[in-house]
Formats: sequence, structure tokens, C-alpha cells
Amino acid sequence: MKQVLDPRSTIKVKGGQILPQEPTPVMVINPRDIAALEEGMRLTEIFGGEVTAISAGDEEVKRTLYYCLARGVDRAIHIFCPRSQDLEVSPLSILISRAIMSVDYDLVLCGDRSQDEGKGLMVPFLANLLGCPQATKVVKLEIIQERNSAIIWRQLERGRRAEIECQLPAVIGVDRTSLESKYVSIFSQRAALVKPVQRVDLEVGEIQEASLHVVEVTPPRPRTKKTFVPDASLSPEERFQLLLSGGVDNKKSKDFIEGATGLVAKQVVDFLKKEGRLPYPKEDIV
Amino acid sequence: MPLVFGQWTLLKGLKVNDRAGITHFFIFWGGIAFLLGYLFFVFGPAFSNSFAEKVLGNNGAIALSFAVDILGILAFISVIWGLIRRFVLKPERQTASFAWLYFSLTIAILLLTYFMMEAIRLIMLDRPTPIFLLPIGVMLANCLTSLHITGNLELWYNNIWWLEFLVIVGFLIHSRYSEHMHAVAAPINFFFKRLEPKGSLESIDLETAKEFSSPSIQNLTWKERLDALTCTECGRCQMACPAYVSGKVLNPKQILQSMRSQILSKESSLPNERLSGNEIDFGVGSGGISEEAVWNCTTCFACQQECPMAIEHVGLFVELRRQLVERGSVSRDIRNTLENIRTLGNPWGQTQSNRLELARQLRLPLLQEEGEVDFLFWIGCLSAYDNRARDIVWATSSLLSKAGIKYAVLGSEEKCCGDPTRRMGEEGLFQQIALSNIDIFKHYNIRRIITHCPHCYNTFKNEYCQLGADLEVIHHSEMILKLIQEGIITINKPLNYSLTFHDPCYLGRYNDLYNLPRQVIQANKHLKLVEMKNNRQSSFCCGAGGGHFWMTDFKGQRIENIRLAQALETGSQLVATACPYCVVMLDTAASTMETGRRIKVMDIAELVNESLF
Repeated sequence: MKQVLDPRSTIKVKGGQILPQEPTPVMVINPRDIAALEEGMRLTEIFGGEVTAISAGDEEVKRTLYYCLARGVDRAIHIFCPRSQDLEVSPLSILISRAIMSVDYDLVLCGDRSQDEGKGLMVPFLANLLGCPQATKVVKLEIIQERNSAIIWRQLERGRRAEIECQLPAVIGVDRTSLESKYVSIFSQRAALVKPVQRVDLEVGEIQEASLHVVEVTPPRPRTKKTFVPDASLSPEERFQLLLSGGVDNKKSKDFIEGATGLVAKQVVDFLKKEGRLPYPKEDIV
Repeated sequence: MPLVFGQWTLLKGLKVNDRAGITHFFIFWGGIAFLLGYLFFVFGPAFSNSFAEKVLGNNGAIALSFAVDILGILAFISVIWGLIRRFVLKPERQTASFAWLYFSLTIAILLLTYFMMEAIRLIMLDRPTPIFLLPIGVMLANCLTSLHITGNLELWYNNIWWLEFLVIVGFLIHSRYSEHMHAVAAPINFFFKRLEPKGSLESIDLETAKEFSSPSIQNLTWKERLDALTCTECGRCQMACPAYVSGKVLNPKQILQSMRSQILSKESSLPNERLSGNEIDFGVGSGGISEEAVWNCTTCFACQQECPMAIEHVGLFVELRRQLVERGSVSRDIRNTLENIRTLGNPWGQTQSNRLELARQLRLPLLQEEGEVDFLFWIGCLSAYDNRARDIVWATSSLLSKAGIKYAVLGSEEKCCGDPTRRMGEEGLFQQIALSNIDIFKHYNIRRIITHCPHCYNTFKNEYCQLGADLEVIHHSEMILKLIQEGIITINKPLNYSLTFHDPCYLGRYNDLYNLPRQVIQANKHLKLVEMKNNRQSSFCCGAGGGHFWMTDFKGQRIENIRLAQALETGSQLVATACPYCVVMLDTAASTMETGRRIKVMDIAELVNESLF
């Protein structure tokens, strides 16, 4: 479960750092992680079992874990690392995989990507470290208990869906779910404060290099901007006028109305009357 | 006493086309007279021949028998009229139920048997009695004598005595399981009526509150259960309810009926498997309350205002909502609204800095820059983000500035007051927001607040005090009227409108401020005020209360369209109101209804501002 900045809150950024200002920016749980949580809760309602919520970060992320406890998860693990935002996905995934391995698990559910950086690397990294199959961009999930496998619907380009079956345990990156996320009241969240959160302190220095690591993240290549080039066969005067207009043909349309505001309004009303677009009787129009 | 013995709650609600309160008055007093008459003249004499004379004296006995005759016959006529009304005329609000038929016939039989025994007693005593003392008894005795039914009277008397006794016993047993239990429950309900301001909801101490993850009858308070048992099924709440009138699922009468049947059910300890998933499972009895009905309530208070039994419907619906919120059973609209308030401090999900921008745009003085001021001008979430409602902020602030009042706004530090959260049943979030606002008030040493929003007004005035705030809250209508009366603002521009006034629920029914806004309107002598049919206490909601402004209703008619149609019936050119929610709702109705173009919607602050040169 990852905390991200609420995109609706106002922030000021300078030198890559968020400046504190009033009102303070709001941290919310990554919506795809909430979808994964809801999916997990749905599966435990059907098949039984337990849900464990894991989050890495400083004391602030405990709020997320208490939210999960209020939502009904059975256990919460807090991987305490004060500089989680500085960590690359590779060491972070090692921390999380260790926490996962400390519990018995059949399925690892997480958000397909985070709302802030959106790298979408946590699923493949975790799958690599846990040595199990993985699926990303998952929009629907069913468990076949007899075969100990999961039927997964992945979202492809242009609305297509790929239905695949994979053996459990597996790491699933949930993109969205058809489930409505349940509202967790303040009262429930307060009640969850008394529930235990297991804290795991790990030194980042202990982490060995994973077999996968990010070499570089490059910004997107700038898109080419279409520039209007006038037809070379036109006269210089026409080419100059076209350049000034940015390529817009300056010829008047036959339906173009201009003049004093009152006259324009009258012509618009006449036009609408003629077209029969007015819902009211014509005599009511002043 | 006036409520029970004077039947005041029924008589005050008499209407030209609904005079059922009078019949109830006679049935009530006829019933009391009958009970006394039965005790002294029928039941008592079974043990001692002159029981009544011994206890009441001769004159007392005569007076009582006279009263029983007069009130009894009036009650008899009322019961017959009630039967005709329910089973022939069938008004919408009343149900022609078996329980009512049983009740009517029982009362009629009891009164008839009483009169018959009185007549037989008179014949057996063979003592001349003036007809004006016992009109019914003497008339019946004369009938019996003229029909020569005078033989074996003692046997007749004994048979009728036993018949009456058995009917009474049967009625008492039946009353335990029917709406006629109100005869006992109503006086208790009146006695335990909440004394807190009626605009406030019951507060919950979150520290000591028990966990109520699943709704159940056990989780309702004893008062809420008493309310359900007190309901007489008169249907006044139903006819006043905007949700019911507009064709939505909610019927307050049915909810109370359903609760009562569940409370009285013998299956109270068994799980109920007959309810579908979208109904509140109280774990008892047959039938549940649909969640949709609970969310349809606009908390307009009309049901509570109309109820002759002092039932607190609004508190009950909010309590049911609280239980649904705890269960997480809320629609996407409600969840988004609550989460927006929790994370961003407003129901719109917009950034708080927009409030600051509004203050800058309208050149409102900021509290952070002004320091000490006389009043905090509270803008409210609707007016801070809705373009139409922003006009009201501008009009109100212009008036305050023209009057030279030292005021300021909080800008981006202003958050939701908590009214929608509390009415939506999220008590924890309400308290969190309220405590945070109280901290801000304390920080800036704010004691006096002006607001043009009756929802904020009600919350600050009646509910923040539950959390320890000590605030003087002034609605803008109060302030504007004061400024006009003191001559600080002079109305000097004649506005020749005929207009009608829509009473906002949270100003009128919640806080009894009916005259203030009307006085503000009448300050401009050229304005012609025409009242709507539903005005003052019986005003019809605009459909925005109880968080409904942020909910989507698909069923039935739009409530605001019904209200605007009522305004259009008056033939007015303008509908004035004193609430931004009402302005936005009615304005929307005016723009969507075909006939709505004929009428303009304005807040009283805009009206006064327009009345100034």
C-alpha cells in the first residue's frame, strides 16, 4: 500500500522538492492499491483466509495501515524506512519481498502502478524476488481452487482483454476493479488504532543488489509540433497572409453572423427558430 | 398537558380539507369519559350497588353520567365518520387497515353496550329521569319500553356486561400489538421529548461509543424505539415528506410501521433470512427498511413538524444512516463526498486555495491580514465553489462593506462546517471537522460569525456547542434587517416585483426564523409579497438538505421542480429565499423547467443589494 500526493491538492515544487505551504498537500492511498485491497477482501469473503497489508515508509504511512485494519485486514506490517521516497524500486522491492516471505501467502496483490511516478515496476520486481508468476494491468480476477490457479483478465490496447491462467502463488498488479471501494468511517479508523501494526526495521545498507535493477529513467521524447507551411505555388502576398493567420482560411462562411450584439442575437434566435431547435413556443421568444 | 389533554398537536394542524383532528379529539375525550363511566357505573356496581354514589357523591355521579352520554355519543359519531373516511373516502395519508376497522368496531360496540346497559338500568330502577341529564340513556330506555322489551332485563344486563368485559379484554390484548398502543406510549413520548435545540442531532461520544458495525434494533436508543411504538399511522409525515410526494422510495410512516413490527416481533432473537441485500437487517420480524429509503430523506424536518405524537423522525433516519456508514454501505456519491470533505475540507473535491482565490476576486478582507475583526463572515462550501452561490457572497459582502462592518473571511483556512457529514451519518468526521474549526476560531479569537447559509448557521448555533464552542451566530437576514432598521442601509430604489418567499428548512423549521427574511423583503415597500400555499412551517423542501445536493436521484420527480411549480402557482415574477442551497436548486429548476423562465430566483441579500442606488 503506497501513499501518494492527492492530485487535487495544491503544491509548490522547487528544485524537485515540494515546498510546504498552506493548505498542506494531502497524502492519499494510491487508488490502484485500494482496488487491490478491495479485491483481496472480496477473495477472503469467498474463500476464507487472511489478508495482510504491507507498506514501507516513515511513521506517516501507519495511517494507511490503520485504514487497512479498519477496512478489515487481519494483519498489518510496517517496513520502517525513513527515506522510502529516496529509495529506488529495486531495494524497496527487496524490503517488501522479505516482509511477504515472513508470512504464508497464496497471492500477492498490489496496485499496477502508482498515481505519482507510475513506473509500474513493483510487480515484476516482486515476482522476480519471490520466484512466482506475475500479471500486470489486471482488471478482473477469479480463483480456481481445485487447480490452485487464478484466471486473470488483463487490459490490452484499444479495449481488448487477455484472459490468462496462472498458477498460485502469483503477484498480481491490479489496474482497476469493478468493486466499489467500501467507505471506512472515522469511527472505524479510530477503533483500528488499538490494533497492532507489526514493525520491521531494516537497514537499507543490508540490501543486496537484485537481479533486476533500473539503469535509467528517461523523460518522454518531446512530441513533434506540426507547423503550417504555406503552399509554395501561391503568391508571396497570399503566403504571407496565410502565415499570419496560422493556416486558418480567412474566407467568410455563409452562416457567419456579425454586427451589433442585438442584431447578432436576433439572427441567432431566427436561425434557431428556423431549425426548430427551440423547446418553447415561438411566440414566447422575445 | 395541552399536548395530551388539549390534543393541541392535532388541532393546530387542522386544515380545510383535513379535519381528522376534531374526530380524534372527541374519540379521546369520549374514551376517557367511557372509561370512567365503565369503572363507576358498570364495573364497580358488580361489587357494590351504589359504588358511584359512594365514591363521587350524588351530584358527581349525575355529572359523570351526563358527561359520558354527551362525550360518548360524540365519540360514537366520530368513529362512524372515521370509518366512512378511511373505507369510503380513502384519503391518501390514511390506511384502511384491519387494525383500524377492529378499533372502530370495538369502540362502537363498547359505547353501544354501555348505553344499552344504562337504558336497562333506568328501566329496572323505574325512576323518572329528566332527558337532559341522561339524553342517550333515557332515549334508549323509551325505545325499549315502546318496543315492549322489558322482560328478563337482568339476564340481558348480565349478558351485555360480559360481552362488554370480553371486548375490553380483547381490545387491551390487541392494542399491545397495534398502533393503538400510542394511547399509552404518546404521553410518555411527550414527556421524554428532547429538550435540546430541535436543529441539533444527538451527539455521540466517540471515546466511549460501542462498536455498531451491523444495524440492529438493539443499537437504536430506547427513545427511538419508543418513537416507533408511538406512531399512530396517521400519515401526516408521509404527506409532508418531499421524498414521498416526489415519488421516491421513502415513506416515513412505513419505516416506523416496519420498525414497530420488528420490535414487537417474537422472532427478535432469530436471524432474518427473508431480507434482501439492500435492506437494513434488524435481525427481527418480517420486512426490512430499504437503504435507499433511508438515503432519500432530505432532513427537511417537515415530518417531525407535522407529527402530532412528537416523534423525532430526522434523528432516527440519521441514526440509521450512521449505522449504514459504519457498515460501509454507502453509494459512490456519498463516499466521494465524505472522502472529499475528509481529505480536502470541502464536498466538491476542489482545492482549498480556490477559497483564497474567491476572497481575492471579491476583494474580501482576509482574517490573517486584518487581525482583530468584529465578525467572521463564513462563506460555506457551496458559496465558495458554485458560481451562482458566489453572487450571494458578493451581495452579502457588499452590504456589510457599505454598512461599514468590520468583518473578514478565513480564505483557504475555511473548511466545511460539517453539516453534510453529520446529516449523512458520518459522526466521526463531523466531530473531527468541528473540533478543527473550533481550534481555528480559538486561534483567531472569533466569537461572532455571520453567515448567509442556514445549514452552516444551524450547525454553528445548535451543534458546535455540543463540542464546547461558545459562538454568537448571526444569519445574514438578521444582520441586514438590523442594518435597515437602524438606518445604516437605506432602501432607495423601487423594485416593482411581485415575489414569493421560499422558507429554507434550516432557517424556518430548524430555527423558527420565519419573519426575519420577510421583514427584509417588506423593507422595500414596492415589492409585493405573495405567499405560497406551502409556507412557513409547512414549507416544501428544495431537495438539497441532508447531503442530497451531492447525491444523484433518478427516481420520481425532482423535488426542486415541485417547489418551483408551487412558486409559479402564485403568479410571482420572483422567488426570494435566504439560503444558497435553495437558490441553486430553484435556479436549476427554473432553467430546466419549460415554465421556469417566467420566474427569477434571488437571495434576499441580492434583492436588498439591488434595492440600493
